[in-house]
Amino acid sequence: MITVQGLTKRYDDRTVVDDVTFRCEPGTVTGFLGPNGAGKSTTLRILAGLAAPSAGTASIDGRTVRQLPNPAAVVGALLDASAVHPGRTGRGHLRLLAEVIGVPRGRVDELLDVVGLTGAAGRRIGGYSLGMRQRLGIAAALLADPPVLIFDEPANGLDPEGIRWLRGLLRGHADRGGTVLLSSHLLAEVEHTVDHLVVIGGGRLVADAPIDELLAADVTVVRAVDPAALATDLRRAGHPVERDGDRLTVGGTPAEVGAVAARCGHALVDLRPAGRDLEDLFFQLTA
Amino acid sequence: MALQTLARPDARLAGSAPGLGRLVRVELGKSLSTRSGQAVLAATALLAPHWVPVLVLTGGDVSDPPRLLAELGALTALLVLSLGVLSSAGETTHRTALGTYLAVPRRGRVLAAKTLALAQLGAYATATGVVTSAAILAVLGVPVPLGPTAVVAAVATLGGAAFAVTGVGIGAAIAHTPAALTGSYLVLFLTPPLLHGVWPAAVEAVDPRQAVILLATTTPSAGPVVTLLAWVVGPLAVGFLILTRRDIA
Repeated sequence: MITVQGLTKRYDDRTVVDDVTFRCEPGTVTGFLGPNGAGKSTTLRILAGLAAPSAGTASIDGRTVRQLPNPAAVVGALLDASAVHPGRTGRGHLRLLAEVIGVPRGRVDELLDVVGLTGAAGRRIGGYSLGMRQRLGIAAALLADPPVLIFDEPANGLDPEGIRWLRGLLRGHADRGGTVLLSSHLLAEVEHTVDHLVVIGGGRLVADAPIDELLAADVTVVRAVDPAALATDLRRAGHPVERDGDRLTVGGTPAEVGAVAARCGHALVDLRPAGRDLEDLFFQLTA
Repeated sequence: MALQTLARPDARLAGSAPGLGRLVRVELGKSLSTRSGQAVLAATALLAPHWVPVLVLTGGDVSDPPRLLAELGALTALLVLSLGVLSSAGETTHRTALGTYLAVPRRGRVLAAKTLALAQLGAYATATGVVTSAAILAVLGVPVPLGPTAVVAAVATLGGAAFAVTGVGIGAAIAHTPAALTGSYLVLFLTPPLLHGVWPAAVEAVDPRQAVILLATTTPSAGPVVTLLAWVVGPLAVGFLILTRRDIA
């Protein structure tokens, strides 16, 4: 489990992360969203032990990364796919990392195959595309099969097949009890992958809830055999109603709307929450 | 592309911190796995052997081979400093520090591994340069006394190790390869002549190249040893303090 408690980071008099608190539970994929400069990368770097907090803590299963004997066996992190030496080969890069972690060399070739880089493994990384570097970074994060994954913009540069594969990897990892913290600007991708959302803006936490809860607005779409009569009864009951043909968009939960319809004897043909998409929610939260 | 990932850490792996020996092997691997690292190592090892025939064939002064070898060894050691700088400052320049300290957050251990690895490479490069130069001198007909030459080779080898470690410290402190290299060589090459004009006695006390030559060619004394130690311990201590407090971007 990832626990971030009262995390604050100041550079001189500028506060880039301000008292941020959230948790990522095992078995879930948590999306970590925020506009550029919101403090996401700083939070992830503190969590990974690369930066020191000004206040608060960021821990994994109760220990900071610096307290873990062999951190890469517990946390697989992809924070910047371009942070690799361009003069090394992909295989050489992974072999050096495998030796540090203590995993057998055979694991390197296994992962190169998994991420589709076997053919390019002997080439220098300087000649890799962004997508290839992302795949190499994902392979590096997975070398020791760590239970916790922290990925910052992992889908950048990946082709659609790669993005689908990545989604399957992250979901599968969580389904087997792993913990995933995923930062991404590809909101549609996040919406399809995560269970929980943490949103920060201006360094402060602005949302921390299951994605279904955040996307579910108190607005209901309803269709009835007699939409005009239902609209009248709903308005009488105090619900704002917009009518578009036989479709009514009503302020209120499906349960409240359904109760009014039942009390007034309306036959319904459709009753469902009017969902928002993540993009609307993101701009609403971070405006 | 399919992969089953674990939900729990491999307890044996998670509880086993990488030992210093393993980290030293990794640092050696890092230095030798890039063309720039290989090129610098080869250039430093081969500089002196290339210079010897030029000196002999152009009628240069080769009347005191141990002294000549000591000067070439000290020059090689100076160049070896760049290997150390590349090893530590290069991590920031190429941003590989991110992966390095993700895997080993105890930065002092990484610095210790770099120190031991680069000391080996520095010693190897300098020893190769001095021994090969001595052999070339002998082949070209210059009498090379074995005993004094062995002393010169041993001191130069230690000097090479020391200068490589100095480079590691400077690189860790400055964390910018061009600035660290330029600054180091400006100080090392410009300070002695400038100081010579105003305070000649101080040159021996601050010039590490002179310290290597003195140790190799005169009766051992504390002065040059202190000078070399100061050049090793000073940058390394400052590098450690800065490295362990700096945020990795």
